[in-house]
Amino acid sequence: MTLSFAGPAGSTVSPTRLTDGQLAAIRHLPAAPSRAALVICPPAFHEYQLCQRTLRVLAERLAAAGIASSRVDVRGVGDSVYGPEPVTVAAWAGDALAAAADLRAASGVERVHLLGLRAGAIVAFEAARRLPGALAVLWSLPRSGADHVRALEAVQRDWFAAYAAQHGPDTDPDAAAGSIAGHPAPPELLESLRAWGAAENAAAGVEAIRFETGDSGSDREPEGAVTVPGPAPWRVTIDVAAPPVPAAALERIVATLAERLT
Amino acid sequence: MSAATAPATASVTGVRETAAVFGDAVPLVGTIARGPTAGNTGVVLLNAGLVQRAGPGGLHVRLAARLARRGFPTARVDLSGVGDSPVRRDRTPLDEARVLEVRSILDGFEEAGPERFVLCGICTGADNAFRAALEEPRVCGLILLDGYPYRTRGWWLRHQWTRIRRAGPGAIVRRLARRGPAGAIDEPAWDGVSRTIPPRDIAAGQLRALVDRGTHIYAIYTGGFRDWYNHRGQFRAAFPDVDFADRLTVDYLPAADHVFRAASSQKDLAMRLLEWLEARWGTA
Repeated sequence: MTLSFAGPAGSTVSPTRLTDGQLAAIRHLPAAPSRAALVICPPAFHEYQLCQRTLRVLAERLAAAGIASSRVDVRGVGDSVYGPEPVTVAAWAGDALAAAADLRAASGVERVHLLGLRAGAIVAFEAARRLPGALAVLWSLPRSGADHVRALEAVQRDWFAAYAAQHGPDTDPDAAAGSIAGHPAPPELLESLRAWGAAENAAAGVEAIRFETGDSGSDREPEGAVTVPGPAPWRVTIDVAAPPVPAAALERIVATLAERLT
Repeated sequence: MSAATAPATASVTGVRETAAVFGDAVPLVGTIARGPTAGNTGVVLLNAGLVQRAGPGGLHVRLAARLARRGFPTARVDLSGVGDSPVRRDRTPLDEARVLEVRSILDGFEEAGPERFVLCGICTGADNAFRAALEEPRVCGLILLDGYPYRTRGWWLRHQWTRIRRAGPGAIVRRLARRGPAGAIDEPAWDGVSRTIPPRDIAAGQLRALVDRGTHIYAIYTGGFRDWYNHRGQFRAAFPDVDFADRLTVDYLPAADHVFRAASSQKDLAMRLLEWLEARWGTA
């Protein structure tokens, strides 16, 4: 029994579960034989929710350009579940590699690359280190894991302040414990993210293509990165009528990858 | 074929998660969670607004695992145009399309085992669940989280008291000088743009029809919705002309926000839902 259905431009979309059902992944295969293959790693916590549509459209456009992809939710993110084992950046990278193996089998493309946005870029980088020949496509890679966790914790503080202001005496003082904006955040995961440093990893021998969103407010030096137009998808407010997708950014990314990936 | 599901797999968490695609007119992407034992009552978690099937903060993922582990197979599904499901192209009006889509989910889920269903949703998810239940006799239960709100005199008094307490003693005189409502406020309280709330009398008739059919209803309201609902008794007070018999349960959770972001709220919600489900359709 197949789970596939027709996507845009004659592509085939196939939801699946990996690693004994723990991980959710969705494959997007082009109508013609794939010319390249890419695992897409989403951001984590509340940024996942904000970026899901953007990454879905990216996968559809990649398929139209002949590039197969698999959007994988690493453990505890999106539609995937946490298992009993500790969650770390290394474990997330292992999940991305499981998706790469699945995509290799489904697409027939031997060399699978990895793309990630925000925390997903950290995952893509770490997975590419463990996959010989893989390119890491890093969209708004955080300057460091510690920086990223600080930004997430600021979001959590802002949420709790708004929650407490609304709930007054009914406020649950423990409401903010152990989560980032409602998403469980195991201590070992945050610790693992904090310990991740891009600078130390720069010499890791991973070939990378970097994209930076122009209005992301990042103080990263965009040298060597392709700047893509905003809005930064992890910062948008969900609009009920039309969830925003940074169409111009996706166009630039797809054009670049269509040229660079083999 | 109304649904396709991936082969069942063992799971490290004791719950098997399988991918599924429901529907004929438009493919609806979902995930079914099953525990070691499965009863014949399935739970369907509908999208909260435009939030993907994982639910706000992944609430649906964790809720599905908890319910499945206790014998309630649970499906979380993206309706058309939400999450991973494509947009519907046939110009069916949205409210009508949602009912058709829920029906196709039940058709597919039925093939996977359950014979009757409980629909659960937050906010517009509750509205979709309510409308689908009216058309679908296989629905034996409804869990409405911040569902249709109807303000009452009791709501108004509590609301004014809260405002006075927050504004300080000087505001009391000014508040007293104003007139309160003459009776129950029987118009829909909602003045937002994304929900279609029927007039109270229409809703009362619909509730009567559901209760007469034997449908059990669990209405839960949160403190995040206090501008429209602010105490446990408000639901019954809004519908004094409906005899709910033993088919209505209502809770008000003042510490919870609209999408249950706090872990403590999520656990509390799961415990209440399990208790309610097991009392009616438990397998033990």
